[in-house]
Amino acid sequence: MLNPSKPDLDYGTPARESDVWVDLTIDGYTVSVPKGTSLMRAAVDAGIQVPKLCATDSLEPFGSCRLCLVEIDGRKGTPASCTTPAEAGMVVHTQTPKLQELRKGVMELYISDHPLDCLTCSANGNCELQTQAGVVGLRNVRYGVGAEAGAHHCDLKKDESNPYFTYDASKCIVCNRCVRACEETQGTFALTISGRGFESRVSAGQDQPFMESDCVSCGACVQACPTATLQEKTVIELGQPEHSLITTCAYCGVGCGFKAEMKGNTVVRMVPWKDGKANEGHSCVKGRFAWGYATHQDRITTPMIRDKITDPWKVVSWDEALTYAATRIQKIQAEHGKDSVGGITSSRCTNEETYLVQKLIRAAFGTNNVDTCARVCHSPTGYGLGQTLGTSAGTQTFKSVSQADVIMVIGANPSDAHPVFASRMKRRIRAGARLIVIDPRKIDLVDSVHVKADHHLALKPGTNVAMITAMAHVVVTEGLIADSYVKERCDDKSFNEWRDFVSKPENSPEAFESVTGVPASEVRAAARLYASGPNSAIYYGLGVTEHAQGSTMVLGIANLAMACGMVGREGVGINPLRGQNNVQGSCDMGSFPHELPGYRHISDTTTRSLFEAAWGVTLSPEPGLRIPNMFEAALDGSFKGLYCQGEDIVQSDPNTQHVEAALSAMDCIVVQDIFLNETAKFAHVFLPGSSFLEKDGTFTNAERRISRVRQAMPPMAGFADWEVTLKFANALGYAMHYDHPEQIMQEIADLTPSFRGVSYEKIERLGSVQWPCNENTEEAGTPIMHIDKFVRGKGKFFNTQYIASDEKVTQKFPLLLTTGRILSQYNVGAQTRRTPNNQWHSEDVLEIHPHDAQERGIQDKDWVGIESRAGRTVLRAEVSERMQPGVVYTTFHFPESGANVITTDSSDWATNCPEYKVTAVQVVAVSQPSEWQSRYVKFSKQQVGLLPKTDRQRTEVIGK
Amino acid sequence: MCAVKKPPCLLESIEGKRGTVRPKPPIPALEGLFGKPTVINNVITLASVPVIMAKGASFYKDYGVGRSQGTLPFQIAGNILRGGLVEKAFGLTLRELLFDFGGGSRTGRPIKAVQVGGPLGAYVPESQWDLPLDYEAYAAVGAVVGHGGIVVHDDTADMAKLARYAMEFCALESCGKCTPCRIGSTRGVEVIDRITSNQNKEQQVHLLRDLCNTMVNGSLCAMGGKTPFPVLSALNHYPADFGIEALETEKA
Repeated sequence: MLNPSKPDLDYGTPARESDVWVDLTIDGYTVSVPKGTSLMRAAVDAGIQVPKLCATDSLEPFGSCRLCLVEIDGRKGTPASCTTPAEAGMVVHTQTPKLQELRKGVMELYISDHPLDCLTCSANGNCELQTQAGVVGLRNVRYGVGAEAGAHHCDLKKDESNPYFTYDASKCIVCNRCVRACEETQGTFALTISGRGFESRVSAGQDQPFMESDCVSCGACVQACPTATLQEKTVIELGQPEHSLITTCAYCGVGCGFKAEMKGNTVVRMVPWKDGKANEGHSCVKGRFAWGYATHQDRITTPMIRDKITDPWKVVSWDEALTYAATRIQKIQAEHGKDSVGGITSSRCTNEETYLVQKLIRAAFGTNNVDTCARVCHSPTGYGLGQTLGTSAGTQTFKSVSQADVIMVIGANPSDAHPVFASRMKRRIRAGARLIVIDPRKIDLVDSVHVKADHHLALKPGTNVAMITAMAHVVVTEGLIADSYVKERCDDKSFNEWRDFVSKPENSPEAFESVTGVPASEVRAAARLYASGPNSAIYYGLGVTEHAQGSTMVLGIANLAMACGMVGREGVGINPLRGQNNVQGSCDMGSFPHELPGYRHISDTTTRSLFEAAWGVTLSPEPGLRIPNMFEAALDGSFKGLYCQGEDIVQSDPNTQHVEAALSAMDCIVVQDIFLNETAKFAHVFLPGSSFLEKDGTFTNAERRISRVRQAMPPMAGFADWEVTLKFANALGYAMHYDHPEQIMQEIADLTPSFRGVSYEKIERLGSVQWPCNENTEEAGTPIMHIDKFVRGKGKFFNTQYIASDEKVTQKFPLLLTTGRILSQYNVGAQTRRTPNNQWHSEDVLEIHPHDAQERGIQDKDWVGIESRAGRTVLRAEVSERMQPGVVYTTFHFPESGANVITTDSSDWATNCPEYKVTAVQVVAVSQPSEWQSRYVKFSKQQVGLLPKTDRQRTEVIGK
Repeated sequence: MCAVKKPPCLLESIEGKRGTVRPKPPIPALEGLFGKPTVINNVITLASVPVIMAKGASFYKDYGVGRSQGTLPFQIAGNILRGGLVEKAFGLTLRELLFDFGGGSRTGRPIKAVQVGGPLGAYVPESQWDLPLDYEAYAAVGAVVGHGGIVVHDDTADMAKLARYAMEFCALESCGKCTPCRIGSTRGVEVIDRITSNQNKEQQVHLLRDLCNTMVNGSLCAMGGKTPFPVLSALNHYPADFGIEALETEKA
């Protein structure tokens, strides 16, 4: 639904919560507010806007502009309404002759030092200084303006270093909103005021350009700025938007709500949605600024087919492409059997689209060979939490962290990977919560501005289970178990067995000290801290799941949380930080070879019959192939066709050479994507996809929150992804028809108990819902799970025997490689590499500790070869103390880095989640790219050359 | 006097933050340094404590007049023959301090203006030298007893220059947080310059009064809030120095 652009109501100061309410009179109107509410906000409640400039409701009141002065009966003077709390019985006047004169006086001072170019200023029409000058009725600036007046700032130069926004110091009114936003909202503290008195100016770092400072380009300052001082470059270029719609970010699992502000079909800017429950008006650089990839020249907008992957692509019509794909797939099935083909759903496409893809594979292909990227990231979460608690999803909302007293972060780096959540977490830590970090890296949270970990357990990669078992040992043997909680809510038998198991001396912190490398005293202290709470929350990421014992570790985390009574209320919980914008949704929608939507096993006859009736087909009860199995089968010759939507397995899956070989052995690969990704270079049919701006649907974030994605522009290829899947199904002879994704969600709701209450109407009304959402829950679903009891009934404990990874350091491979994220690039980089975010990170580097570097004669910025038993690649080195000696680190945002050439097929025992986090490697200084890289560059160039020539310049988006 | 002397700035600075003024409420006595109840007193107040502890409250209250109880070590400085500290009970007059204790001006020339109450105190003209040195009596005429600082000027003093100096001092010391002081003090200097160089004089005098009103009522702390005291008292009591005729006295 399109909304005409108008500014959101700004209450001036944050809402306060209190059981006590206060009644007062403002301008003769009675109003009732929670104790602690400011007079300014109480006035807005009464419908009165007191003039203001330095106040905004996302920030604590500051009291510097002096416009919001009011008069209170019985008190002398003119106090500021932003910093004065409402008190019972107060009689307040917001407009009197005295206040009128004072406000004009203040405004006259402001305008005497401000450029008078309103009509050509980028903030024209959306400038609070402009508005307030009108409100106070300023008619004359008797000081003169700028040079006329005397001292002024109107000639200051702009700082245009940041690719997304400009800092124009000449227009700054020193309201400090940007500085406060960087402190309170974001927590980076990159901005301050430099100089004193009249000389005060906003400064990034030490009067540095923004790009050189600590600024992470989250844009909170730009949003907070009331004038054109901090302004989006897109607004400067395009002007003010005229309408907006609410949608959800397509980057990470935080799932920030955004207001897409538009002119016609052009997005002018993305503004974080104040009412978005996940982000509450905040965002990171990617969601707010890096959406330009959607209209990048690399977008492929026409269907293409080819016979062999060495052939040039042929542009064809949709019908021809789909018929070609359907024919080839069905031919393969006729020759090699139904199960010789399969598909991969996207964790970036909408719930509706993912549902359709798995439906197509099950009903139209007739096989259960469907899988999703969760395989390679959080599948252990699915397994582990499903086994212990009964639901394979996080237990809380993000907001719950504001009630936590102890926060334990395991194998995650939220500052880089889930920045908006990290800001919430940091805010809570600044307010006094304690922090434990379990990670081999010295991540940002360990020692950051006003945030310091009480304990950093810098364990060796691959020893997670030893650590969690040791901590459990402390809790059990030191009598820290939440006895009544466990007795009431958990399964006796498994608990007793577990208790006996962890109590064994070989599971103590002392016994594991040499394994993990962490002093036993630290482990004991951290365990005691976690157990003491009162509210302790665990947040974990891929540093837990992407291991040979990933599932075991998740079991271990659940064990610890249950034993200490930390599940089932606000401020606690087990919180997997899901990576992709819709990986949670993709799992929910039955993208697994063994599960139908709603996590019901395919072998369960009741569920299967339900779907068979709805879909009009017979479904096979046998679980299908997981992605790693698909590769094995392809090399075996029994898996020959693949429908891959919005997933780049060649870049993101481990052991690249293995994946490449598997794909090369297949007959028909159908890729549906917005760019020619690495997988598409092995494809025979390319179906152009649609970005999140081009479709309607829903995403589900890590909070199980289902939010709307709304179409802002028509799909560049003519059809949204869900429409393409429908057409493909029809071409395969399986009729599917929906007029709108709303109907798809209706079908999902009808077939899935935990989604039964979900509907577009409800989401429209409430903003979002959290599953489970049905007749047994509140209307908006379930914010906190397992409140009275666990979903499976009694929580079950599992013994977590530590088994060292197969990836051991040896003489040949003496270092351990681990992988992770950085803020500016996202996942395989398909989106972010096609935006100015490259300015922050233009290539993947290998972080190596000074000791290890010195031993090998490696200097900062040298080329180094990294070799494992799987392969070899070359990266530039960055000597850094973030890693401990013996551990090296890289990211996988650029395909030519070949980070996954080195990762192996070592994987989790329960789910096959690859052990990306532990690879034994050797690092040496080199002078040329690896063989794989040379081949890659050649192959890539060849494939790009096979694309149809257009008048757009095709560039291979390689970093440096 | 450095910017960080003002209690609200001081607290911020000690906490390791930029030395800007923090707004009230909450008052420091309830929520002050590091969020804890904090009492802030200057040296004079603390120096008054021993005698009260030793001799009792009544003894102390016996000195003084009206609600101004006890004694104050008045600091006489500037163009005075015998400067220094004179500790007397509240209630004596400025004239007594200037002549009986101070011995008149050092230059021997007539005393023209006396700034009482520190750099942000009003200039007291001769017509007011017989008022009792008492907080309320001084406040009633728009002057300030403050901490009892007294600076004497003889008739060579240019009150317009001194008024300009008051604004300039404010501009130098301003923390920069609130608009009236941050911009107002700089503009104040410029406005006074225009007055004394006869540019648009009538309008600028009017503007100066408006600016002082904005600063007194709008400033976040006493720095901006009290700077108009010397300025307006100079303007009101010594209009000739500004090149204007005596206008109706306006209270600060």
